[in-house]
Amino acid sequence: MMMLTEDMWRGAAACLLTLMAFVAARGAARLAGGHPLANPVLGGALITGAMLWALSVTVEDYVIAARPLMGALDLAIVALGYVLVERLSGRIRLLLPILGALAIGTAFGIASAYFAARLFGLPLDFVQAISAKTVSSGFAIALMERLGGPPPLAAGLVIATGMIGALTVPPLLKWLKLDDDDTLGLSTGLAGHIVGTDMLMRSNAGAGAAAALAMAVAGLIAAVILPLFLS
Amino acid sequence: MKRAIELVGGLTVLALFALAGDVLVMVTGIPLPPAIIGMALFAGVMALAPKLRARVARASILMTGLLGAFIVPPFVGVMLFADEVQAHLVPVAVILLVTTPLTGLVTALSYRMLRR
Repeated sequence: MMMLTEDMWRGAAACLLTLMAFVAARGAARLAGGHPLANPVLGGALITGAMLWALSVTVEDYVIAARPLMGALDLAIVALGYVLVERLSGRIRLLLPILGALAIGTAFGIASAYFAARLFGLPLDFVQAISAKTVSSGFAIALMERLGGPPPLAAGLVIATGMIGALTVPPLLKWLKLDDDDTLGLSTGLAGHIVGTDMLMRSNAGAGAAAALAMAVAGLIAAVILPLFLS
Repeated sequence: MKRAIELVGGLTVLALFALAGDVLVMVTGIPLPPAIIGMALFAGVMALAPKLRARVARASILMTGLLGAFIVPPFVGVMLFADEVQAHLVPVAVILLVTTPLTGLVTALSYRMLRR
């Protein structure tokens, strides 16, 4: 019984610390005028990391204590369904081009990472983990467990990919003038999954909804394609 | 007060769909994250029931707005893999930095081509 309450306090402290760090970083990002590098998730993680260091709490202990936030993340992912329906209702004729582009994008994302990893002669567990980087971490972990790759490594690479996608894809598309809401959202959601979706959701709800769609569909398509590469 | 009730009701609906995703994955064993199954179910029901959709709007908008806060722990957790990645840092960094924006670009061009 003592253990349980202690765990609960720890969990509450970890969640509170995380939320406060996020809100502080979001405030700072607004002051910075929404520059892509002033990402509240990245900033929140840096503040949290600094606090853990100051309080001499290990990252392992923190990640375990902050588990309740993963439950909240599930609710937020479900809630994306609302945004998605708001975005798609009355625009069903776009469904086919959207699904086609997402299928091509997912296949390219997996194949390019797989062949590049083979080309560099990376060990098998890296090849497996890197092939899953294009899909959101929830998918990547589920797929690795089924295909026998290393889930933690895949999750780490997925998050790194999400950061890179969220930071590189929107400026690239803007530069090429390919940045209407749908194109921007689908591409950023596919390449940068939840990190890209979250970023767009804050700046442009239409593109954010397209990103949520891309993230979900890419995961479904990857579940079909990935076994072809890894088995 | 009415707003608070609507919010709690909406959150309960979201939780029920998340739970439905959990149950479906457990029963069928499909290799997909339960939350994404929940999202697909939720989107399907919302498309068919506009009245219910209006009721869950407040909770949905709140939760999607906080999404970023909920992914902070895995971001912090990335540090745990630093040692594992270190031995292959350069190729891994090159692969991620090149293929990720390229994947986004291929998606954008495909969509533009198919939409016409």
